[in-house]
Amino acid sequence: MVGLSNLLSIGQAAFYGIGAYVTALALKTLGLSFFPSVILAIVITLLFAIIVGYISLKMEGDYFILATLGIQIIVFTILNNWIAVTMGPYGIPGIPSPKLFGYIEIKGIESFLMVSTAFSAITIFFFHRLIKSPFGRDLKGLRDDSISMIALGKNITKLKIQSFVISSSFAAISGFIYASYISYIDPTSYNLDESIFIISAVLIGGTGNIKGPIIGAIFVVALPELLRFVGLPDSIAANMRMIIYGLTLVIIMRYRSQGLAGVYKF
Amino acid sequence: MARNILEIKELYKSFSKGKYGKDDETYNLLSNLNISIPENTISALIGGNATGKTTLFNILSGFLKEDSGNIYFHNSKTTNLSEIPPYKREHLGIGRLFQDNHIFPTLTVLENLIIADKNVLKGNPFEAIFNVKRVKESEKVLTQKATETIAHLFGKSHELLSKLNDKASSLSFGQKRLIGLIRLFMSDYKLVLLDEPTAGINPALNDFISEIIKQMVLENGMTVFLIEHNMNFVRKTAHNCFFLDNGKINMQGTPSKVLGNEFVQKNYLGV
Repeated sequence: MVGLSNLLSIGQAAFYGIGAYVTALALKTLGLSFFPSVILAIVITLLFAIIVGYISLKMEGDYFILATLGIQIIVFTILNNWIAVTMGPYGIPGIPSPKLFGYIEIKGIESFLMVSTAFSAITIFFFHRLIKSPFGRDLKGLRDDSISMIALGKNITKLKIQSFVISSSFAAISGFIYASYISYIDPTSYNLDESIFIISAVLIGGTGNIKGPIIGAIFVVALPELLRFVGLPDSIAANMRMIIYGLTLVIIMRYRSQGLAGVYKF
Repeated sequence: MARNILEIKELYKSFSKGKYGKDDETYNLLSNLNISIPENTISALIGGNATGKTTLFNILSGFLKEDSGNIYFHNSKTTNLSEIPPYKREHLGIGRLFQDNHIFPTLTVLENLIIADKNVLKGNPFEAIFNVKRVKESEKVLTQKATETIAHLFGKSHELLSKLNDKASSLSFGQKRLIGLIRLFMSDYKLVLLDEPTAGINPALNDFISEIIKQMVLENGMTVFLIEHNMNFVRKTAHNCFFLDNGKINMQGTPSKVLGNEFVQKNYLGV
């Protein structure tokens, strides 16, 4: 979304959270199996993204970023206070493992590794095709020059909403994997910190292509693991991680604004 | 006598005097402006700096809203442009070349041309994923159209043909200007608004651009409405000339008549 259509959202964790909570309710309360749960998570998140996108994408630039901050805060507040459905700050424990076709239980690290790999492959395939397509070209055009796009007869509001909805729907898949793997979710996993973590991964890795965000994700996920070898006490290591994220972002924005492997320069 | 493709009637546009000015502190940039553009002709709009020429084009394109007045576009049916959103004005057949090069720097030269295509299905993200064959065929047709257009306008050995896969950001200002002009041939436009087509271009190319504009009218059936400060270019290219002064059309007629007028010479040309 940020690399192709220049829409910087700091509310991506909200959609990730909606996907996770819908998954938890689908698996635990409705007793649905694997595919119906993931489809329901995507559809509910997609519908929410359409409504939010229609309202917020009438704004541009900084105003849009602030609107996504507002969405993030609203969703977190709802997850934290709608006790009857989300169990508020207590979270939803005991989320059952999803069953493939109702029989094959997805449980354990190996099974989730396969599921995550499969979803990652589908996501990469989808976005590879999308970037190379005329639709991807229109998004790049929107990123480069929205005035020219209007002059060429393109409905840029529709393009922005499509980009926002696609991006949000894929966040729901992450929520599905997380909720079904961890088996316990609470609102703190979907707060502003998480959104900033996601956008940090994207900006550090780079935008405008597939490999940039992948490299960024590897970097931000691998960093705490590497810090373990340094032998820092836990309390210092957590703070050190945030300092390194922040420092990396500053250095990247100053000297390599396209990120480690991206193509789009901010 | 040719029918009018565009009729601007009693158009008013005012702006606030300052960013923090009061609402009533405005000045009228366009005031009771009336213009009729005959179909299949080249009409030039001339006038001093800050007289509202580009503002008028921005109103016609929908990027600015007029205070009052009507703009009628006569194609297969008559449309009041005031009621049409900006992007849909292009669908009616109105194209635009901007004063500063509005090209897409991260796209290739070819992509800058074929992006003008507005096939609705190709803009559908799911079409891109699930109907690759159809998209590829469509892209092939568009690529052929782009290369044929360049070859037709500039000749088969023109340097742009060897730069189709280069990023547009690598082109010179003049080459970017040409891309903007070529793009107007990629759609089926009825009226094109050219804001200073020769601005920033090597003077040696002026005659060349003049020929391209004439070609738009003679071969492609377009109507051209252009803003220009190069009076030799206006004399060579345009059929009609409008002199904008004090928010309204002060003089109109053939270029030789308008540019030969004493008032225009004294107040605009400085003769």
